[in-house]
Amino acid sequence: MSRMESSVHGRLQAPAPGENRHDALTLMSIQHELVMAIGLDLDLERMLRVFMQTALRRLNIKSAQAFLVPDGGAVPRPAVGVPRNWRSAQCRADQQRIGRWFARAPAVGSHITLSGDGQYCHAFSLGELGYVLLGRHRRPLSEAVRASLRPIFERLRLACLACREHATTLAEIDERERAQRALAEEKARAEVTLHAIGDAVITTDRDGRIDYLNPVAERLTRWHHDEARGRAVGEVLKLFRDADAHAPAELVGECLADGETRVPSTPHHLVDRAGRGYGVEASAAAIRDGRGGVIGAVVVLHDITHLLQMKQELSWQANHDPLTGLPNRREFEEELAGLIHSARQEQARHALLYLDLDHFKVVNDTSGHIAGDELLRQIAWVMEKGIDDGDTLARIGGDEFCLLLGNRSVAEAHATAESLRRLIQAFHFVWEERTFRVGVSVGIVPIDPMVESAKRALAMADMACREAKELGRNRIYAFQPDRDTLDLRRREMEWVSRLVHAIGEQRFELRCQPIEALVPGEAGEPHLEILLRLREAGQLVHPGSFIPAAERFDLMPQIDLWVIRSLVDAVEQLAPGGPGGRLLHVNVNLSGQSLGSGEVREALRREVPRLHAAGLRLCLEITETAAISNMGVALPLIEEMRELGCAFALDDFGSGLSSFSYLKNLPVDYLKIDGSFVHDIARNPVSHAMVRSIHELARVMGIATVGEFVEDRETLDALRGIGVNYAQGNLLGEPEPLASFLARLCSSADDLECRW
Amino acid sequence: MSPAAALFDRVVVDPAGDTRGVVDALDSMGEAGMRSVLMLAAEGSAFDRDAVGTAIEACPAEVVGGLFPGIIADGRRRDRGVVLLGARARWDVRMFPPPTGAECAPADRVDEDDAAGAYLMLVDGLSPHVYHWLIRAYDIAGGERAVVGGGAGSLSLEAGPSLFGDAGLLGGRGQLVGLPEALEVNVRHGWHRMAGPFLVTGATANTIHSLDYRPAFEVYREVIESASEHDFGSEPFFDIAKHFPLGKEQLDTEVLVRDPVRNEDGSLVCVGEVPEFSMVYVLTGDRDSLVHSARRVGRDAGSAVPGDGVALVFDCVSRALFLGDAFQQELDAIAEGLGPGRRLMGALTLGEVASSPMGPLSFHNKTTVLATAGGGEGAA
Repeated sequence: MSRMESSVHGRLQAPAPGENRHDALTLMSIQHELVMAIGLDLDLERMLRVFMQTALRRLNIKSAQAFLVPDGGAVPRPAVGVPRNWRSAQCRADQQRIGRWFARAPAVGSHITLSGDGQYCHAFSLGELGYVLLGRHRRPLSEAVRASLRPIFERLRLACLACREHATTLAEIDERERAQRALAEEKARAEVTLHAIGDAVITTDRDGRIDYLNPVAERLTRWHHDEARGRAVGEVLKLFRDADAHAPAELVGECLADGETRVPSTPHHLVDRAGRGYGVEASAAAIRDGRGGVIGAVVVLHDITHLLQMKQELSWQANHDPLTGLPNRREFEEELAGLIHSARQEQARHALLYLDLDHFKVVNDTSGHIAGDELLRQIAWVMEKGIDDGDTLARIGGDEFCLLLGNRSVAEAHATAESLRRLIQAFHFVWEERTFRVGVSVGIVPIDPMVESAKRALAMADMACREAKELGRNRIYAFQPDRDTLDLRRREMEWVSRLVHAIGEQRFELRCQPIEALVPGEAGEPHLEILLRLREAGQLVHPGSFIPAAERFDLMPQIDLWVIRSLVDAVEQLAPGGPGGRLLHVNVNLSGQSLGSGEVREALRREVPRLHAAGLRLCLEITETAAISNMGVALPLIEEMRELGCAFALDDFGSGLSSFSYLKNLPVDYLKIDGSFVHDIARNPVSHAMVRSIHELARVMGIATVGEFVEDRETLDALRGIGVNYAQGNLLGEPEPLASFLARLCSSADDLECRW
Repeated sequence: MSPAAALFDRVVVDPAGDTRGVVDALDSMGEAGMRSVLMLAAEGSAFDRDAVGTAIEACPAEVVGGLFPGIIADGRRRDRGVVLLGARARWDVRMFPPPTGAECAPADRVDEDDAAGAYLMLVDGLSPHVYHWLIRAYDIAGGERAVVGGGAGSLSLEAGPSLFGDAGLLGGRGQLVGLPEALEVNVRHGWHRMAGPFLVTGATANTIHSLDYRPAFEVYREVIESASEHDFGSEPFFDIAKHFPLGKEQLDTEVLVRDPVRNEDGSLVCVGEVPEFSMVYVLTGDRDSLVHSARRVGRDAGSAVPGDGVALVFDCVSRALFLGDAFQQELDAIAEGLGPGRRLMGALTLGEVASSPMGPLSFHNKTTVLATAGGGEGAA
C-alpha cells in the first residue's frame, strides 16, 4: 500500500445517490447486523472474533484485525485477527503512518484508508483502546459505508471496555473465590482436625455460650453440638476440681474475664449429662480477634479416666496382696507409721500383732503351691471374720500376717490374738479329700510413744513371734520392751560387727545371673546381674538378712564400693580382649545411700572407664524408692554416669511409689518389673494387665523392660506374649559364682553363644 | 497465485457405480501410484457402501469426496455412477466435526508453512453447521487462496452419511482438502431481482421468520402470487419456490442466492444461513438467463486458465431441477465457454462453496461454481 486515500470521517451520512447502489436501507441493514454481532460475548477475544466474522461476510472484506493497547502500554499490538492466518501486509511505511495517525488520538470511529496494489486497508479508531484494520480486495469500502461504520466502532469500543471490565471483575471474583476457597479449605482442615483429634474441644463466644463441640466433646459431655450450641458453658460443661464434684472449676469464666490461659496442674473431674464422671486434664485459652480482643474461649479436655483407673489399680496392686486382697507390707507399714505418729501425738496406745502360720509348709510341700495359696486365702478370710472393722489385717510375707489394733492395750490385744488362734486352730482345710489343720504363732508389740519406727516395731513383733514359735508354736508371746529391745539392738550390733569383718576378710562373694533377651533381634550381647552373698561358717547368707542392718548403720556405701572394686578386679584378671571378645552388659545394684556418697561417686568415675575398656558395659540398678527418695542426688549422678557410657535400670518397678509420674523425670534405659507382678502373670489377669501396662508405657518412652523372678515356662511365655524385652529368673539361669562364669566365658566364646 | 500444473493425474469414470466397478476403480488408482483420490458418487449408484468403505480403507491413496444427488462426468449429468479423480501428490485433509457447546471460533491447525495452493471444501449440505465450517476453513485458507466445493447429501433431504474419508462414509462433517495447485474459481447463478429489498427482521440460522416485520412466508407469497400465476394454495411449495429463490444482498458483488425449501408455520426454511438484519430480494430467472450465466462461467474460466485439464464443476441440483431437460444445455454452455480439450467433471450439489472475488468464503444456492487449473490429466 502506498497511498493514503482519506482521513477522518464523521457520523452516518446520507449516501450519495446511486453510489455503489447502496441506499439508506442497505446501510441500516449493515449497521443492524454488525451491531447485533457486538457484545454477544463478554470474553474480549471471542466477542471481537464474532464481530469480525460478521464484518467479513457483511462488508465483503478479506480480513479484519484488532490492534489493542495492552494494559500499561501505549502502542497497540495485534490482538485478534480473522482469518487466523492473516498477517498484516502493511509495509513499514504504512505501519508508521497508522502509528502517527493513532498517536494523534483520532476520535472513536474515525478512520484512515491506505491502498496499493489493488489492496485496501481501512483503520478504524477505538479511541484509547487501539484500532481495527479491515482489509479488502479490488475496491475500497464506499465512503457511505465507512461513514456508517463510525457508530459501530463507538459501540465496539464500549463493548471492548465492558469485556475488559468483565475480565477485571472476573479476576477479582477469581481472587475473592480463591481467598474464600482457601479460607473454606482452611476451615475444613481445622474442622477435620478438630473432628479427628483425640481430645475434647469446646469453644464459646465472649459471653461463655457454646459455639462448637467436637465429637469427643459430644461423647464426654453427652451433649450434641446442635443442642449445646448457644447454651451457657456451665450448663454443658460440668467441670470440678475434685473427684467428689464439690468444687466447680470456672476455667472458662476466669479465662474470659482476664484473657489468661488456664492449665491446671491437677486432673479435673467432669460429670456428663447422665451423671457419669470422667477424669480429665483440662485447659482453657482465650480466642482473640485480629486486634487481640477476647472474642471467646476454647476448652480442651483430655480424658484420663482410663489412666486414673489404671493408676488406682496400680496403686491398689502396689499396696495389696494379690492372693488374699489384704494390704501388703508396704501399705501396712504406712498404716503402722500413722499409728505410731498418733501414739506420739495423742499419747494413745495401740497394739501390733505378728502372726505366723504353723505347719503351712506341710500343706505346700504335700499338696503343692496351689493348695498353699488356697489355704492362705481361706485363713485370711477366717481372720478377717474374727476382727473388728477398724482393725487392719495385712499379709506381709509367705505365711505371715500382721494385725493392727487401734486404741487397744496389750491385754486386749492378747484377747484378740487368742480368739484368732482358736479360730485358726479350729479351721479345717480340705484339699483333694485330705484335711489339714494349721496353727498360728502370734507376737504382740505395744505401739506407744517410745516406738521409733514402723520397721522397728515390725522387727520387734517378728522377734516376739519367733519367741512364740520357739516356745512351742501355736501360742502367743507379748513383747517385753526392756528385755526384748535390748536383745534386738544386740542382734543388730552383731550384724554390724559381722559385716565390717566380712568386708575386711573378703567374705563377700559376687555371683551373677543371666538376663535373657526375649525379643528377636535384641539377643546377641549377653546381659547379667551381679548378686551379692555373704559367706559365714561355710554357709552363704542372703542379703535380705544383713542389708536392713547395713542400711541402719550406713554400711551400704562400703558394701557397694566393695562390689564395684571386686568386679573391676575380676574383669581385669581376664585375658586381653575381655570377656570372649564380646561386649558384656553387667548390671550392678546401687543402694539409696550410695547415691549420695561422694566416695562411691568418685569410685565410679574412676572404675567405669576401666570396666568399659575391659569390654563390659555397666548398668547401674537403683530401686524406684531409692531414686525418688534421693532425687536431688540421684539425677546428677545418673546424668554424669550416662555421659561415661553407663546405662541405668529402675529396679523393682511397680512395687514402690507413684511410679508413672516420676518415671518421666528419670532418664533410665531399663525398667525391671517387680517380681510380685511377674511371678503370677500367667495365672492372674490383674498382674498380666499390670505388666502389660508397664511395658506399654515403657515402650512409648523408649525404655526396655525386664521381667524378674521368672520361675516357669508359662510366665516366660506370657512375658514374651506381652513383648517384654528381657527376662531374668531361675528358669533362665540360677545365680553362679562370677569368677567361674567369666572363666568359662573366656575359655570358649562358642560356649557362650550356646549358653546365652 | 496463478494456476500452473495439472490438478489431477488420473481420471476414472465408472458409469454403473456398482460395487465391483468402484472397487476396481479404487484399486486402479492405487496401482497407478495415485496418493490422493477425489471420489464423486451419484446417490443412485448401486454400490455396497460397506464394501466400498472397506476398499477405501484398503486403498493406499487418501480418498476424499462425497455422495451427491448426481454427478457430472465429461459434461454429462449422471444420476448413477462414480467419478474418481486421482493425484500423485498427497493432499492435506482436515475433517471438521460438528461444533461443540458455544464454540464460535475453534482453534484449528493453522500452519505457517501451509503450502496448499487452493482448497477443496465438501460439506454435509444438510447440516446446520455449514457456516461454522466455513469460518474454520477461512481461518485456514485466508483470503488469498481459493476455496471451492459443495454440499453432499441426498436429494430426499434426509440426513445421512455423505462424505468419503479414511473410515468410509461419514455424515455431519465438513472436509477441507489442501491442493498443491492454485485454482481459478468462477461463480455465477443467472438469477435476477424481482422484488425487494426486504429486511430480515427475524431469523434463526437458515430459517427466516419475518421480513419487514411481517411473517416471511406471507411476504414471499404475496410477492409471488401478485407477480405470477402461481398459487401456493394449490401447488406444492417447492414447485413454486424453485422458480423464486431469495437473494441476499452483498456489498459490491452479486446477490447470494438462498433457496427456500419449505414453509414452516409461516417461516421460510432455506438451504444456507440467512442472518438477521440482512437484506434479501425475491429473485427470478428462466432457462435462458441460467444457461447464459453458465456460458459466462465457462467462458471466464476458459479465458483465465486456458488448457486441457479437468474443469471441476459444482452445480446446484436445484438448477437441474429447475431446468429439467434443459439442464444439459447448461452443461454444454459451460463446456462451450471453457473451450475444447477441457473435461468437465463434477457434482450436482446441495449448496455450493466458493470464495468471493473480494475474499470471504460463501455458501451459495442455485449457483454454478467452476474451478480450473493447469491441464495434463490422463483418462481411463
